[in-house]
Amino acid sequence: MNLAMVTSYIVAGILLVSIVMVNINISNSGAELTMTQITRDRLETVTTMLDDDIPNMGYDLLQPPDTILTVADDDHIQFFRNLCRDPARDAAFVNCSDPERITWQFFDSMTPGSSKNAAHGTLIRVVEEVGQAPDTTWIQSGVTRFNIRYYDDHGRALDQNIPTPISSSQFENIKQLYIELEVQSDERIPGRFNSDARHIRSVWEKRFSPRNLEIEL
Amino acid sequence: MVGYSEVLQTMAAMIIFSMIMLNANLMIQRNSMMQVESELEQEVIALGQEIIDEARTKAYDAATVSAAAPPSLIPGGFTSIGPGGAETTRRSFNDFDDYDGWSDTFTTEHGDFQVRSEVFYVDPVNYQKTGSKTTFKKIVVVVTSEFLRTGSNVPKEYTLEFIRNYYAD
Repeated sequence: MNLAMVTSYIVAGILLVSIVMVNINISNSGAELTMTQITRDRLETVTTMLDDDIPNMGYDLLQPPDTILTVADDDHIQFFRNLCRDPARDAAFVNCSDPERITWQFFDSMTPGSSKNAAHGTLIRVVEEVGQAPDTTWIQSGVTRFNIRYYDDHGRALDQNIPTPISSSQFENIKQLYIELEVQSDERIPGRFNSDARHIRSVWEKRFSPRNLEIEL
Repeated sequence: MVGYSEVLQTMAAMIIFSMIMLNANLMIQRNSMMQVESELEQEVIALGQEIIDEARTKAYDAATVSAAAPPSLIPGGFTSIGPGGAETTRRSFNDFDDYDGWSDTFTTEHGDFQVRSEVFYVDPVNYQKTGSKTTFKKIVVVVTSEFLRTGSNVPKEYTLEFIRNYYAD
């Protein structure tokens, strides 16, 4: 075997190893993209519900009890809303039946049994209507953080929130809410450049200004 | 050339492989860009919507703040666009058009975002900007991030708009 032959075998070997590495990288990148999409879809499912619930809090507030918020903590919020979505309930559309009470609460230590990510917790949304059993939605789709901050004025700096838990006497002062939600993937993806494997994460944060919180009761 | 043909063949293979690898790297880079962009764009929408929602909670005009009686002339009795003298910060804004000319930098989990807004009267027929007072005002919120750039490497401007009607408040 001459030198040229040996050299070409070595080069061919390097080429083969490189092809394998490129394949692994491409497949990791594809997996990362897919997992990112799945994580974001899960996040969006929750944010769609929050985007509907939070801005609409307080409708029907003149019906007893005359309060919008009933719990305001950093991982727990409870409030009344009723959008009168079913006009059949009240033809006049002004005095809807009993308002719905909505609860959002996050349990960070309640990791779903099927989860492979220890940081996953459980987020629940409960809808309670008078005379009916509570309707609870268990959101166990990778939520790792659900944080709520409350502000007594519009446009305050993020860290100038009202300390939680907020007492009922202060509920009327709340004008804005800031919600931060983080969802992480179940599986890890291999890290790039020899870094550790990591979970894909997607974060959503938004400040809400529910119109009914502006009303002086 | 006997004995060197294999070397030449492997060199040719290396060239072909280099091209494949370049394309593969480009694809991986595009994937990463897409991931980052879509995550940031989600935040852009949330920030823009936040300002619009906040502005909607304010009175339509300085003349109607605190549920004051409507001006005798509508829309002629409305005030000019822009914040009043004492309304220098977002916290002091009390009507919809106070957000005209406002700008700020928001620090989020995804880095800093520059947000600015403009408010103007619009023609009720075509909803285009008009110099005269009408019962319609439009807010335009523009959000930019240093990480979201166009092909020519200038910050991409994301624009959110909302038209408010005095009577539909």
